[in-house]
Amino acid sequence: MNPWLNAALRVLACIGLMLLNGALIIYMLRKVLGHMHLRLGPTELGPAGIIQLIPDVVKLLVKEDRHPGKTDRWLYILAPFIIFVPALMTWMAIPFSNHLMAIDLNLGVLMILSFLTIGPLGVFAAGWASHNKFALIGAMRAIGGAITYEIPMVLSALVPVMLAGSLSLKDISLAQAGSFWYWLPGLPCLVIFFISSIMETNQSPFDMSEAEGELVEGFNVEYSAMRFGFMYLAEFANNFIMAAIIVCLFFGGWTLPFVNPTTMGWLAPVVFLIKTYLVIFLFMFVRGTFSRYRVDQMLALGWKKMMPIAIVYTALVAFVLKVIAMKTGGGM
Amino acid sequence: MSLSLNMIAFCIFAFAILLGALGVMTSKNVVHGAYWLLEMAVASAGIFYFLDSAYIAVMQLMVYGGAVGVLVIFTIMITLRSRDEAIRPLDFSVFALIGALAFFGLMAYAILTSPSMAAQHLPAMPQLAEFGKEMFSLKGYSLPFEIASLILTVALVAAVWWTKDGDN
Repeated sequence: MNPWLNAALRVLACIGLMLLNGALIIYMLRKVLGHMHLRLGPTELGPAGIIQLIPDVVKLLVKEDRHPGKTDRWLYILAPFIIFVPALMTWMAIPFSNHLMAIDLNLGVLMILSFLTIGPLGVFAAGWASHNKFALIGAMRAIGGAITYEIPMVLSALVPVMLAGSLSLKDISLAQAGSFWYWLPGLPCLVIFFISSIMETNQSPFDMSEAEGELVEGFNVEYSAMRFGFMYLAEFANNFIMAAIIVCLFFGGWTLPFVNPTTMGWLAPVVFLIKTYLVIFLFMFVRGTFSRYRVDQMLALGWKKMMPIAIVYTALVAFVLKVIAMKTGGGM
Repeated sequence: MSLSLNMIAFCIFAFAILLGALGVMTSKNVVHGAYWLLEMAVASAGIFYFLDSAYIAVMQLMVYGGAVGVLVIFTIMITLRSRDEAIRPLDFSVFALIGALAFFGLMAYAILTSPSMAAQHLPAMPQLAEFGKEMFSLKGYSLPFEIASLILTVALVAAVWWTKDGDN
């Protein structure tokens, strides 16, 4: 195929998936959180509450694009894209099946995590450019939080990487097909990764940078219409990406026990999506259940608990793997 | 991927780097400067990616885009007392200009006189595992690596010591 067309189609596929995922998560938010919080309206509109989606999306599209006067103009315009583009880029390394991925990179985990580190900078840009106290406090919290959770997140992702001996999400998924899934040997890391994912995706109980109760809406308070929509789309995309990484690293990706992972055909992406949306459901369950942490509590949790546990457990797994490798004679 | 597509991507990233460098230099607002720096780091990651070094590209993105970017913003955020302090006048210095021109001349001379790198392009880039073995084996770069990390630790401890209150 023409390389231009090929590249364009891959990018379009990622954008399409991102938009579809956005619509699906809005629907899930309305339904799951609606039931958990006893919000009666949105769960009932139309058959199974599905019509609620239309006003939600139309409102974002047609609302007036308000532009406050005192903003830092260029940064204000660019900020939604600094948040949106890295979120879009992460989609290309997600393996939906043995060969269904935008690019087969052997550094998948690293690449996704490195793109995710750009997100908080976009949040800061939005908060700073808005020229608003609440937005700036939210932005500062986003940066402080980013420093806190990114290190334990990357460290805990290392355990499945070491177990599989590869940085490619595809290979890590395949390595789990023959044996047990990695949630069992990497249980502490799964917990740390799960908590860091909630911090990364800015969700309650760790939604410090937007905390409605104290900061109104935080970094995006001055944004409206589709600029606001871009930020939310990116947040939903990150939601999916974190869930997809958890599925790949700890729950075997698209593989199923006792099924040959390379001959699953159309079943593979379906299994992958079901697993991913189950993890997203779990995110929402946490979001609907726990109350918000204070910002210092969140930082203390990150620095004083998650970081030491992640370092110690990663070192332990590395040591055990090295000993096993030396016993069996396979030089590492 | 065809050569033309690579060439176009290279040109885009190269111009993005130049634009970022100019932006850092000419922006009066330090926050804008920080974001131009971020743009430059991301663009250089793109260049590395199109030179078939995906690992270096990802590291560039993670270390310079993510970590250093966050650190620079964090520092600006801590040191600024008000929003107006972010705006600094542009200083023009003849000596800096001479220094920059001298550096440019040196670099241009070095590039023009060194043999062409295109001839040494490897048929296939080494895999990440080989890269790691070379990097961290005893015969490879493990000693410089450890020394560098030790220096960073010493710098960190020294910084904590310096910023401590004078009384203690």
